[in-house]
Amino acid sequence: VRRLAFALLLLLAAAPAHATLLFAGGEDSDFTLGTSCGTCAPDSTDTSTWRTNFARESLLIVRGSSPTTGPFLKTPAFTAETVLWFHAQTCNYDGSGGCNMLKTASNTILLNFFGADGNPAILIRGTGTDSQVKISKIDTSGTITDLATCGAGTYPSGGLDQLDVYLNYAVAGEVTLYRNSSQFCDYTGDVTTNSRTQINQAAIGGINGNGLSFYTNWSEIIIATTRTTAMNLWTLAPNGAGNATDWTGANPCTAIVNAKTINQASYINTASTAVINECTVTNSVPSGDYTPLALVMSMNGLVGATGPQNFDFLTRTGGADYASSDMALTNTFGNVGNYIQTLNPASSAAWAIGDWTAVGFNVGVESKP
Amino acid sequence: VRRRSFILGAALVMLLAFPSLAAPPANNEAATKLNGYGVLQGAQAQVSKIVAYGVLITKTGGVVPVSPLTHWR
Repeated sequence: VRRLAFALLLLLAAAPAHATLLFAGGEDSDFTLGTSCGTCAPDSTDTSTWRTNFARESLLIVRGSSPTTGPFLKTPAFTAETVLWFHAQTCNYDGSGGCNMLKTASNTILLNFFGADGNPAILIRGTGTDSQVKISKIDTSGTITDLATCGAGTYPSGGLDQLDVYLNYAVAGEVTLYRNSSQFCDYTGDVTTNSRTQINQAAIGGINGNGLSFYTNWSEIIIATTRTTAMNLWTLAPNGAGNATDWTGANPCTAIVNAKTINQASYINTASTAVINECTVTNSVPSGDYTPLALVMSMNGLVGATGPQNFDFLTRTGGADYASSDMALTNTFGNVGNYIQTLNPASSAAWAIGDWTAVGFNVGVESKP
Repeated sequence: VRRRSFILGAALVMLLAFPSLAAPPANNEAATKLNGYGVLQGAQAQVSKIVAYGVLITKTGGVVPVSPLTHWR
């Protein structure tokens, strides 16, 4: 009996919790702008503001203090959860020479978690002191209550910081902040308002206290139900023509859809359904020992008054195309993001990095009625 | 009768040559909607950007550091 119990214990300890990915993205096609987002733009020039082996740009956001309008970049709504983790690479940017700024502006909003009712619920805010933020909760009428003020000199550090947040949105709840995987701030207690129990959206903002020409920069944003401190977001950018490039447009994969920043004057197009455009992707794997959790895609596009009204994301692996369900587009350019595939559709097994670096692996779109 | 046939025939030729004469203006407007950049998008789907990501977990000692617990310090 003891042996059996011991074996069961070992099995339990070895079995990883199922990691559910709720959101992943790091570019302009993954977010929507807050209505007062004067400066929320991709920065693809200062390579000190992101990890160049994983990403190809950061998103810079000027400071702001409105929980409802930003400035911020908002994720799509994801599956509502009570317990979740947030992850990103962040930087308090001086606008030209690096992540060297420490000053935070008082009550400006770094991170905003929205309740499943659509209203802001938890805020991470600047305090006005160098390298210091605080954890606050906000009710549906807009009243903000500070829960914990973190230590001065903890975050932002004046460099590129990995920020992870643990959130248990409950009456017996908790909010914990980590910089580079080390805890620097924690609040335990009632983190809820208005009897809400779940979070289903997040927004990234700016707290840079040096003025409106300075930013908080973001990259590699991940939200999951399990610990995110060991997670990384590797950008698989289009870099060459794939198996089919049947939409109209010169050099579609190397001059159009591979854009770092959305350019709505440059697009591929088709007036027919069942037309495919596929691209090969970056295959230089960041050095290190990794296991893949998921493949995620986003895009920016539109449909006309007639012609194709939907599209499918396509994944080409093992010599076959695998389509998402039909996704709708509007008559003006808009983002469709956060298409998550946790399994290789060809094998129904977990992805291997080799699946993504294999010759013939493509990502793309297909026009649909 | 000849004159009437000629007029009807001429009208038919005009409609065949210029079918838009028979279309209501409102439909024309919908079919030739202009987007913010002045691009005719009547029957087109357009895509300006596609990007993909791989979410990777860093292994520690060859093991994925995901605990059965959702939170630890």
